[in-house]
Amino acid sequence: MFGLISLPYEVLSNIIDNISFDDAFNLGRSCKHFKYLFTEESISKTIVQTKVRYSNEALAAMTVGGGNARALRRVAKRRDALATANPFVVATIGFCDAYLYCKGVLCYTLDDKLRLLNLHHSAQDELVISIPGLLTQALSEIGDHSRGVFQVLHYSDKILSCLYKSSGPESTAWLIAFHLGTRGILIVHELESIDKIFVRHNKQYLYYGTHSEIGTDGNRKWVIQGYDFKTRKWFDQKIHLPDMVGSEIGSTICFEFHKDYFYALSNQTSFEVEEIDWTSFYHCIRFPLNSPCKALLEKTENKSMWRRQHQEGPIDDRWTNLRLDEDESSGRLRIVEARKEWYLGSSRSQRTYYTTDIIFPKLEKDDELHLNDLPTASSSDSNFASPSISWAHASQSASTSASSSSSASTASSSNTASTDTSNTTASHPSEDMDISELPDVPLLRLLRKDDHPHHIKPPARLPQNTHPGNDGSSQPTFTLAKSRIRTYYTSCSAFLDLVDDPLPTDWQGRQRLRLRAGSRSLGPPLTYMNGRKQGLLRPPSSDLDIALAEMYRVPEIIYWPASQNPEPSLRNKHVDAIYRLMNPPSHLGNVEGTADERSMVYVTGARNEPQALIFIAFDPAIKLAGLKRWGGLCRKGVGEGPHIDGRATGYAAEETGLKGDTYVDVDERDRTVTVDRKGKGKERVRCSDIAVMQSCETVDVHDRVAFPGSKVGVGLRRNAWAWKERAMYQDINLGYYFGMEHVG
Amino acid sequence: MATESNKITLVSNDGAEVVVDRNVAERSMLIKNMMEDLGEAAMTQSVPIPNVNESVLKKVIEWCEHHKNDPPAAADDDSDSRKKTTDIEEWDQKFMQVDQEMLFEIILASNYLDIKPLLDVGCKTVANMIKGKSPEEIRKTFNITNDFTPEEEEQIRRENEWAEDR
Repeated sequence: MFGLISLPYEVLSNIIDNISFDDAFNLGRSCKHFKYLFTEESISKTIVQTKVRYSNEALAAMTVGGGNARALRRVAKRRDALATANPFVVATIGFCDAYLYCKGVLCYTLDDKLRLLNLHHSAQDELVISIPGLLTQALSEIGDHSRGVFQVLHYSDKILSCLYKSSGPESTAWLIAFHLGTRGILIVHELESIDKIFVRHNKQYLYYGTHSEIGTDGNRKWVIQGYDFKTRKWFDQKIHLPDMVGSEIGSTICFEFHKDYFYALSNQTSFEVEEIDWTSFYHCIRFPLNSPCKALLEKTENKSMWRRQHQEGPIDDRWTNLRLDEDESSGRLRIVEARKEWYLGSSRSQRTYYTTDIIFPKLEKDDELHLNDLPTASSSDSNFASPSISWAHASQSASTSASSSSSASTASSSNTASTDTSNTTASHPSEDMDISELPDVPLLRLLRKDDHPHHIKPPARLPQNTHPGNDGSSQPTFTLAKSRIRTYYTSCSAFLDLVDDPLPTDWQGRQRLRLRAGSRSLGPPLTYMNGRKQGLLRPPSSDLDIALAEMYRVPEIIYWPASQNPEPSLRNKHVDAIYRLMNPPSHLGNVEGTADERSMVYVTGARNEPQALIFIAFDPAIKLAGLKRWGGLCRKGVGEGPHIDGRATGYAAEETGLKGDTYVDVDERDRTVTVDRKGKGKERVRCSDIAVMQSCETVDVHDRVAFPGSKVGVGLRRNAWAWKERAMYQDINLGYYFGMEHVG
Repeated sequence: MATESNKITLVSNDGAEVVVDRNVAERSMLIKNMMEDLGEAAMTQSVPIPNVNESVLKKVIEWCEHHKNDPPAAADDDSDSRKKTTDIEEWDQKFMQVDQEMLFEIILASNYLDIKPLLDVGCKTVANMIKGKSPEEIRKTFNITNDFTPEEEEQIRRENEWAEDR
């Protein structure tokens, strides 16, 4: 008589409070009665604004004050599309010499122009910037910008920052930032170094860093400087990060803004190779964006930032990926690291994604209090080998000579110490270092005075923070060179790779990029199977492998597009069309890409000419003007099209009745860009040789028919270095939409 | 200590009389408020509970009996506490090991009688039955008929979400 359906709204709402976003959506999918969970605004609002409130969709709905139901569906469909490698859009966006895909905006350079296209917002126009024009505007004192290197560094909040390095013997480099809306030049700053330069900014602050400071130990260190757009001033203090080891952004170090703080994260502990070592930690710092100074710089402590024991097995560092990721539900910043490891002596390496919370010590400097905060002060002390706790190995002698009971407080005080390594002053470790805290292994006898081993007892690895890749023995594995984009989506626990998977029958091994997704989802709560507690909830096993197996459901790896029939005559032409779109026959090789939480962009093609830019979107709201619906979807029928199942073989069923929408190579339209760019290639000017006269550009602007005379027209003469133009992808007109039409 | 004056009589919708300690019955905010409104008169006459039958009423009272000494529920300021659905105490989990019809009747009764902690336990129990399941598994668990056509199901997953104004 009574059932789930008969529950009143407020009771169901209570139940919804207790389930995850995905569960709520699945309940909504169970029958028409519950469809209101993702169509009715007020319940959708509760779900979206509590369970995924930090997703872009939820934030947008919050700003507009509505559209939560749509936001909910968008999040759900996006996650599903990512986890099943089933995109909504694949399109050729343009051709470029270089690109940057940042915050949903694609910035790409072609010849002497920089083009900016907001892909997340499905923009139909792009902002075109004449690079010589911009440079003339920004660097008026420099007459000749005809030769030099221009590079886009960062985009955010309608502000673009870029680097220009003049050529010649007295080469100078400038950091230039400008506002796309006002066309105002915000920063022109001569750089002392551009070594590994990175820029992060929001609408108020800009920070750039270079790996250029030579420390007293002879190693290169990061130095960071900030600018306030409001006061138009550089902050007085530069931030030096003498203890931040790691120089490769994205694999050993990363920098990010998050909620008014600047974060730096490293997975390296020492500049030196430690011959004898046990434990590896993450090292994270942050400081407030509005006040970059040493006093407000916070650092994590080793004891709460355990990364791994070296004993777990060697790492194939080439695969390591390190980033900071904001959780869509909690808004908290977490560390997400991919490591390919030969785990515990395994004969094959496996890629695993590890998520780690960032824990900063409480701001109170009261060491007494701090020690009391530790769960068990004495036992935790014994977990530490004293040198390990100090940040890097600064103030070695101080912390090694400290008694074990005060090691934690010593460490916090040595945090701020500079880099004077005291290797020279350290005496023999057996006198100085309390080696009783290190594991009692024969290796210990080899410990010498300049070794700085780190050791803590490893905390348990939690299954929710550990996602081993599903590359079991039955799956073909892809080498690093064939895995062109490797990414992980925490929101839907999915690996999504862009892999080069040539047809097995193709003796040439021609590029055939495909998406490869492996995901997992949390299963129902665990219960006791028998005994007195039968049916009652139980915690997962303390053994990680067992816990992973019992907690999660792991579907098979999915490839997209569907596999092709090796026999060309038997192939599905619609599937072939996607392959040709993803692998333009005229632009193969050198694939590089960037992924964000709802899309990816990659380039493909020979290096000495413009590469094709391909865009893949998993967000059902992205609508690029003029895209055709993919022909393979036209079939009226049951359930999932064959494109969903990577191993689908139902070509015959598709072959019929689909003549209408065939793949046609589209001729070039009114512009100079063609698929193979035969004509354009000749006109092209080398990127490093920006010689086009500015006057030419101005003429160009006036002649443009599609040019909307409104906004840009006003400042045309003054700001002739920037104008709007119909997006290049509209003229290229190569792309498909894979979603379904909206009904009703 | 239980004297006659501390007992009240509840009458279920199928006419059964259930005598219960006042402090047990007052786990229900509905009854508590009613007692306060009626004053002494309430102690002498029976209280009808029109929406709840005897078996459910007895079950609800069993729960109230066990939890009569619980501290009053703190204001739900920590939203995290509610999300920890695995934190159902063992006695409550066992109490909720009933058939689905009874489970939902207890939930409806606790909602009607305004017994928030019991309602929460019931809702958490149902939540645990939903968690981690596919739509098809949810249907099976709750005996729900799938009234979506395959096309509609696909529509839910794959329909575009283009903004109308574009």
